[in-house]
Amino acid sequence: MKNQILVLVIFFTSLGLYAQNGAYQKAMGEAMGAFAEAKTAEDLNAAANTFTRIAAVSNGEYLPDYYAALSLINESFYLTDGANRDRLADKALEHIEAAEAISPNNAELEVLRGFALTAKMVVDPATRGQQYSPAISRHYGKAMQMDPKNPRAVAMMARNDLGMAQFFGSDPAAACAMAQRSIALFDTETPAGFEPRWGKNVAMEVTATCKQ
Amino acid sequence: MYSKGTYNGSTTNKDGFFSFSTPVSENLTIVASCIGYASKEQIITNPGQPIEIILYEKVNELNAVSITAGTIDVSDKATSMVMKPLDIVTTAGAIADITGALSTLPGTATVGNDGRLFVRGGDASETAIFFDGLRVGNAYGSTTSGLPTRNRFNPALFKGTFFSTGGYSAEYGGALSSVLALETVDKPVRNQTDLSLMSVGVAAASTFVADKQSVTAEVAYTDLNPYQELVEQSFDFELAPRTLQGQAIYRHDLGKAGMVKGFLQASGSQLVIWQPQPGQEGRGQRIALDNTFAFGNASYKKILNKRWFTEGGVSLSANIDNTEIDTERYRSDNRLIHAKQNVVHYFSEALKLKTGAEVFVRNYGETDKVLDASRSLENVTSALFAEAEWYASTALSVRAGLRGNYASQTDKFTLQPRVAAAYKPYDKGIVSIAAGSFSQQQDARILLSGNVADARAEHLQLSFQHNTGNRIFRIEGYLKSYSRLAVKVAHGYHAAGEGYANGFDLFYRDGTTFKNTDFWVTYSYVNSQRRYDTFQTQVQPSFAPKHNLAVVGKYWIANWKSMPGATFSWNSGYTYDNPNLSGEMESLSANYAVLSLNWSYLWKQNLIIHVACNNVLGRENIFGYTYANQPDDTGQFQSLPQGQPAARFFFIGVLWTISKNKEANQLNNL
Repeated sequence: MKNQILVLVIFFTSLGLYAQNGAYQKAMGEAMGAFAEAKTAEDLNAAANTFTRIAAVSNGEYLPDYYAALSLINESFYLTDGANRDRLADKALEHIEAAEAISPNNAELEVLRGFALTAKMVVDPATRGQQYSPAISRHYGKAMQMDPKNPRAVAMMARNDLGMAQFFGSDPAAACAMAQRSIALFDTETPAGFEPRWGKNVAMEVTATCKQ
Repeated sequence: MYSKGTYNGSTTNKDGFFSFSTPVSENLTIVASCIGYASKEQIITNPGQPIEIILYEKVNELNAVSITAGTIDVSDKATSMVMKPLDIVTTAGAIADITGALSTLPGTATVGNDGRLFVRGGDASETAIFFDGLRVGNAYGSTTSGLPTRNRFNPALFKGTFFSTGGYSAEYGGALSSVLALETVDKPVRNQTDLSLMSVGVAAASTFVADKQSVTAEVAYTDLNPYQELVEQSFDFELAPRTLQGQAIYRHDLGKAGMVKGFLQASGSQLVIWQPQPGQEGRGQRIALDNTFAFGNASYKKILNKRWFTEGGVSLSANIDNTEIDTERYRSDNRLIHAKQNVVHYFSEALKLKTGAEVFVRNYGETDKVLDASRSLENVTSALFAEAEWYASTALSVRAGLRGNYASQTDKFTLQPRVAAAYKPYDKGIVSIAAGSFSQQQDARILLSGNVADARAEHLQLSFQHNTGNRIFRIEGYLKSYSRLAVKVAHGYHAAGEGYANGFDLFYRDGTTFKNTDFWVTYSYVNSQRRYDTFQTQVQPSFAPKHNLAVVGKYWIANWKSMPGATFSWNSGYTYDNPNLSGEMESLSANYAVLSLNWSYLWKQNLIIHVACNNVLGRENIFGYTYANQPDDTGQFQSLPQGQPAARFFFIGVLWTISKNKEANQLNNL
C-alpha cells in the first residue's frame, strides 16, 4: 500500500499534472505522502486531521473524507484501549457518511464501511462477532456486486472469509481463490488521481497464509 | 488546528504546540478541534502573535463516567467488563439460566433449592424483573417442594442485561433490593432456523428478517421424564416437570427515529411430586402443580428530535397455578398490568432530564376448589419520577432523582429520593456512591388479610473499581436498612418488622493473565437480620448466607474448537429454625458447595454440542430441615432434611442453526 501511494505521488509531481483545482491537488498530494509515510498512531492521527481539514474546504470531493476515515481506522489498530478504538471507528463512520452524501453508490465506500465495522468488531470479537460479522460480509458483498472489478472488495472479503474458515476449521479454498483473483485485479487496475489503490498487501497476506 | 476556509493547518504535538503558515486575510479565523473536545474558533486580530486556545472536553453519555455503585451492565460496550452477554450461556452451573449465571456475581446469594435471584440479604421478591423496561409478574416458573426453578426467558432473546444490586435509578420501583432489566435484541441478524435437541427436550425457532421488520417464533417442549428414567433422583417424582412453551417476537424498525417491539410468551407446565412428611412413614403428601402462564409486552422508543426522546409500553402477565395437595385443591391467579411512559430531554449533551409516569394494576385471587371459597384483591399503584443526569466532566457524573409512589389500597403517597455519583480519580479507576429510598408492595398473600403498608428500605453504598480492559477489580460496601416488613399478628399482619443488611462484595475478573483463559472470583459478605413473618425477634433469614464465594473459569482450546468451563459455588450455610431448640433461626446448615463443569464443542460452523454436569462431585448439600407440625410421643419434633433433587444433573444438547449464511450458529443460544 505504502509503495503504491508513493509511486503515485512521485508520478504525479514529476509529470506536473495540475488539474482544475491546483490547491486541492497540492494539499491532497502532501497529505497522501504523509499518509503513506505514517508509522505510528500519532502519524495516522495527523494524517486524519489533514484530510479532515481538506474535506472541510473541498465540496464535491469525497476522497478527503475517505482517507480521513481510512487513517482513523488504521490508527485504531494501533491502540489498546477499547473505548478509544470505538471512538476512532465511530468518527471514521461519520466521515464515511459524509463521503456517501457526496458520492452515493460508491463501491469504495462500501468496502471502507465494512473495514470500519471490522475495526469495531475486533475490539471484542467474542461478544461482537455475532453482531457485526453479517453486516461486514454484507458490505463487502455489496461492493463486489456494485463493482466486480474492485480489488479491495475482493481482497477484504477474502481476508474476512479466511478468518471465518480458520475459526470454524472449515475449508479456506474459496477464500484463497478470491485472494488470487484480487491480486490479478490489483495488477490491472488503473485508478485516476487520488482514487484508492491500497490493499494488495491484504491479498498477499491471505495468499501467504493459504500456502501454509 | 487550521485556518478556517483554507487547507492550511497542522496537528499539535503531544504538548499541544503547533505552528503553520497561512496567508493573512480579513477575518482570519483559527479553528481548534479534537475528537472528544468541543471545537473552538478564534479570530486573529494580531497576526504573527502566538495564540493559545483552551479546549474543554465534550462530555456526553457515551464517554461519561458510568455510575458503578450497585450496577452491573452486561452488554457489548467496551467498558462493560464484569459480565458479557455471552457469559450467561457459557457459565458452568447455570445451563443458560440467566439467574444461574448472575448468581456468580457480587452481591448475590445462591439458594440452591430455590433457583431465584437473591440480592444482598434480600429475598427473591425484592428483585424486580423488567423486560424492555416493563415489569414481568412471575418471571420464574412455578415450582414446589424445594425443587429449584429457572427464569422463564431464554438468554438468546437479550442483547444486554442491566443488573442493579442496590441504589438503583428513580425510574424503577417496587423492589426493596434490586432490579434486573433485560433488553431484547433490536435487530436479529439474518433469516435463520434454530433447532435444539437436548436431553431435557426439544426446541425450534425461526427468524424472518425483512427490510424494516422482523419476526421470530419459537416453540419449546421440555420434559424431564425420559431423563429421570435414566438418572436416579432423590426426590420422589410421579410426573417429572414438563413444559410446553411458545413465544413470538415482532420488531419494527423506524429507522433512525426508533423502534417498536412486541413480545408474547405462553406456557403450560405440569409436575407431580410426593413429599415425605417428617415423622411419618410412606411416600407422604402428593403434590400436583399445573401452571399456565402468559406474558405479553409492547414497547417503543422514538427519537423526536435532537433533544427529545420518548419511550413507553405496556405489559400484561397472567399466571395461574392449579395445585393439588392430596385431596385439597387450590387455584391461585396472579395478574399484572404495567403501563409506562418516559420522556427524556437533553438540555445539552452533558445534562439530561428523564421524567416518567407508570401504573401497575395487580389482581390476585386464591380459590379453595374443594370448599368452593375464594378471595381476591385488586390494587393499583401509580408512580411519577424525575431524574437528572449531569456529566460534569469526563471524570465526574452525578445523578439525582425523585420518585413519588402512590398505593391506592393504603391511600399512601411516598416520596423516594435517589442519588448517585461516579468519579474518576485516575484513568482506570472509578469511585462511585449511590443512595436512596425504596419501597415494595407486600406479598399478595399478606394483602389478602387486610391492608398493610408497603415495606421500605434505605440503601447506601460505596464502590471502587479498577479496570484495565483485560482485568477488572471491584470492591463495594453497603448498608441497607429495612422497615415496615410484614409481621404476623393475631388477625393478620402489621407492617412493623425491621431489619438490616450490611456487607461488602469483592470481584476480580481476568481475561489475560493465563493464555486463552477467562476467569472471575466473587466473594460477598452479608450480615443481615430482620424481624418478619412469624418471628418475634430479628433473625438471620434463610436466604442470606454470611459468606458467599463463586469462582468461574472458561478456557478456549482453538485446536479442538472447544470451550470447557467450570464453576465452583460455596457459601457458609443457610439458617433454619429447629423447634426442638430454643431461639429462632438458631441453627445453621452445613456449607453449600457445588462444582459444575461444562463443555461446548463447535462441531461445524453451524452446529454446537454442549455437555454439562452440575455438582460433579455429588456433594449432598442440605439447605435446612422440615419439621413436623406436632411433637411426637417423646416431645421431639421429627424432621427431614431439605436436600437436592438428585446427586448430580447431567445435560447434553445439540444446537443446529440453518441459514443461508453458513457461519451462523447458536453461540448465543446455548
